[in-house]
Amino acid sequence: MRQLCSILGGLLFASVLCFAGDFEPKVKISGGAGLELGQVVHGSYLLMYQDYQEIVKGWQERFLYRLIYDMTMTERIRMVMDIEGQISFSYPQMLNPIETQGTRYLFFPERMEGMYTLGDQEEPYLQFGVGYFPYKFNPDARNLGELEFRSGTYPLYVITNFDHCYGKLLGFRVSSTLFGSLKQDLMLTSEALMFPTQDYSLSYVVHYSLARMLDIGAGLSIAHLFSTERKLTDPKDSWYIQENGDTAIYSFKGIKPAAVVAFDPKPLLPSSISDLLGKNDARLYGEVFVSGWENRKNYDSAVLFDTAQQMLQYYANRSDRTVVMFGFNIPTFKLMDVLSLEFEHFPNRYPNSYRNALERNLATPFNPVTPKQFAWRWSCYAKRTFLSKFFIVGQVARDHLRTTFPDLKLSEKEDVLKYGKDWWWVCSFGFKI
Amino acid sequence: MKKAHTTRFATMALFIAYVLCSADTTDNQTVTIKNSGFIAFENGQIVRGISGTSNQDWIKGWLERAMLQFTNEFIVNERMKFILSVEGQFGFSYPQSIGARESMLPRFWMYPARVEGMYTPLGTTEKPLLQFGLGYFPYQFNRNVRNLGEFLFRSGTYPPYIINNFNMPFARLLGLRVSSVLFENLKQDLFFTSEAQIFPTQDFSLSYLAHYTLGRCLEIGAGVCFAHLFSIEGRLTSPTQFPDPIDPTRFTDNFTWTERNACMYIDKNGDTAFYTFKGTKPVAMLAFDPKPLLPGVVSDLLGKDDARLYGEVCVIGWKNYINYNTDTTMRYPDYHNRWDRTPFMFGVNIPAFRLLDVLSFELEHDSKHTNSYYNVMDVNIPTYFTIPGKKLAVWKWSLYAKKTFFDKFCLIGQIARDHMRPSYPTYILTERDDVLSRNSDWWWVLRLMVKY
Repeated sequence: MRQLCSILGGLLFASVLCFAGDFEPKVKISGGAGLELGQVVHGSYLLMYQDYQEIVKGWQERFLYRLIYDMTMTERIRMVMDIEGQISFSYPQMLNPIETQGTRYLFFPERMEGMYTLGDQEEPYLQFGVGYFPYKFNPDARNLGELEFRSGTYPLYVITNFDHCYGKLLGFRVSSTLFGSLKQDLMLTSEALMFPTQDYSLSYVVHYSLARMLDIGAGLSIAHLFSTERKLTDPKDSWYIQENGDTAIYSFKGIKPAAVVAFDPKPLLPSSISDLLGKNDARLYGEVFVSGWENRKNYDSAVLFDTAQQMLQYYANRSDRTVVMFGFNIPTFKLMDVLSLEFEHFPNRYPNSYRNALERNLATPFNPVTPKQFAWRWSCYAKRTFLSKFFIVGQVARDHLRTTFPDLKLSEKEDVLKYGKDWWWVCSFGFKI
Repeated sequence: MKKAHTTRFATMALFIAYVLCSADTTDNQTVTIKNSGFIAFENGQIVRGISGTSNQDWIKGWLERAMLQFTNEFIVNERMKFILSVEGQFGFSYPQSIGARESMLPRFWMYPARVEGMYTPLGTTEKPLLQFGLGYFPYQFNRNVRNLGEFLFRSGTYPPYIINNFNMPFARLLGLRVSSVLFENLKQDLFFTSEAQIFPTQDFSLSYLAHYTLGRCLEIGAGVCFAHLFSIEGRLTSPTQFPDPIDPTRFTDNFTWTERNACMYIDKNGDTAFYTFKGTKPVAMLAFDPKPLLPGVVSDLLGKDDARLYGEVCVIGWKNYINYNTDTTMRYPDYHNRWDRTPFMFGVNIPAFRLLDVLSFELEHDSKHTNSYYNVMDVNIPTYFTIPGKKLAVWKWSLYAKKTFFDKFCLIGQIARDHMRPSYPTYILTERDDVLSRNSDWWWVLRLMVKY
């Protein structure tokens, strides 16, 4: 096996050198920045207190900037270094901890990827990538959805971030585009976001585009398939009784299938109408995602028969871990780049929280005694580019927002917009070069 | 009145329509990119100082850091320009203490130096008749200043406090800017900026500044800043309730009754009133360059900046708040005297006859109160921080020299008693007061810089 790897590695290196030839390396520098201003009109957070605290008109602000170096070294080798910086502020700001009152200057990679391509750079029939790269499973999603790589299992939790509607993965990627319409990605990635980190997951995603009208996609991620530290991935402190009476452990390992569909009616419309519409106008799209295919029903009689203990029956029904979203790009007749309305049905048995994973290292849901949360999420997103380089983006939503906090221990682990009356707005003014 | 509003609205609508209709006109243009930056190594010493946090004397405290900056300037066309500039520091803490272990290790951190998009609908980016800027950008009101002065955006109110950093005689602002240069000698700037440095952050301030140059000899400037004009959280900008209804940890256990009630005062009617972080800061500057008046044989010997005289005055909080409370045992100093909040400075560029790029000597007169934002950050109240019995130096001074050689190298030195605060990794232990607050305190610093 080791010899085979050496041979393959040698061949790859030789091919790189052979193709280096007379190619003139090109470096394309670009970037952008945006000032984001927003307000949690109504919400609540748990933070360090025992009880939930109400948020009324909580100001949200951050300044983001990016610097991108896109280097084409040879016809086949390309490297992208994309760095994002932030000036950000905490919410809420408190005297204890006092760090919340300070301005924070963050600096982190958005994309650091090396690529080796066979075929066309834009539509390669085979491409290898290594590094830290963004990945978008649902190309139409603007805020909600895009769940495959923005979620965890077990338990189910989803993370959204304004105007960053994609997952960021660390590892290896093999991609292929065939016949211009069939796109496949195979990824072996290290968990770089949430506990237990560094475990390797294997994912396969396929997209097919039919006559410019219908896009369908499906994906499967086997999360935490290769554990780097078994005791963290399979914590022994939480267990359940299987049907045969054996004891099993609630593990962070899980299979996450997802599917996406998008329909664009423009090719069916008379050109006198479709010409009036913008590129993204009138698209309908949807996504379904299961965070953990396997049910783990607890046959412990105390949980099974006592109705008061039903909230301890964590993973008996798959529907409790199935998230559905759909969206529509409202036609704006080129007045805007996009105006999208999205809805998401998020099962509400437990809060959308990774508190137990982070604070107790348990693969069980955080289960506080709180009023039942609202299952439907919604989002309205609009973007307008002007003068070619400047943009305004606005969003009104009840999504999975978590307010920022400098201390991991005290940072918000669950949605702050849990109930029907909770929502926030945000807008961003900036430029992109 | 209604007609005036309509006219204004129509003008604004027309302008917005013009901007929006101009969309997608520059897609295919070639963007010119200019790269620049610097690498610097800096060493210095607090010859004598005092810690405001621990009240310990500091003798010969070593300061050291390395810096780098890389800047990409994207010129889309004569109307549109973008600057992305990032700065990093590799620095050491002073003092290094086992009680705060982070202070014993070197630190590397990066932050934006300038991230700005500029659009110039009238004129050019170099000489804009009208220019809009958006982002995080440096601004220097008094371009002659090398160290002291430059008060407007390097100060806070209320209470008044001043911040300065070596070789950084400017402030960095986050927000929007509208600038205009008329007749080549009248420069105006309007800013709508979010507070991004000291508590209460994120509040929006409105500022207007104007400069007029008269015959290459005289430069005058004036401006006003309405600090924290638009508060994003009223209870933080103007605290009035104890304990705080949102954050019960504020103003409780760790604070004395006096501290908790320090933001209250009794007005002349005998009513209870409250101090606020909001304030109006007017500023003025003047610079005189005698070179155009000198005979050519003399002025030709002088460097570009030699012999300039300049000065600046700023009122850090125009409004007086007089506390009529007769119980002196619980009183913090009030704001009855505007002169206590009026620092002024003057400087001269000593003629170096081209041996140096610049050799400037500056003097600044400050308030008799401690230059501290301790109460602002640690108690969140808009009052002075007082240290009983501490004798403060009201005069600050600075001698700054700079020499460029081999075109790309630069040596900068400074000896001063200024508003220096050494860097520290732990937010809670960072110095809030001047460490050079007494007459005998001073420091020196030397930087070697390579520019590209």
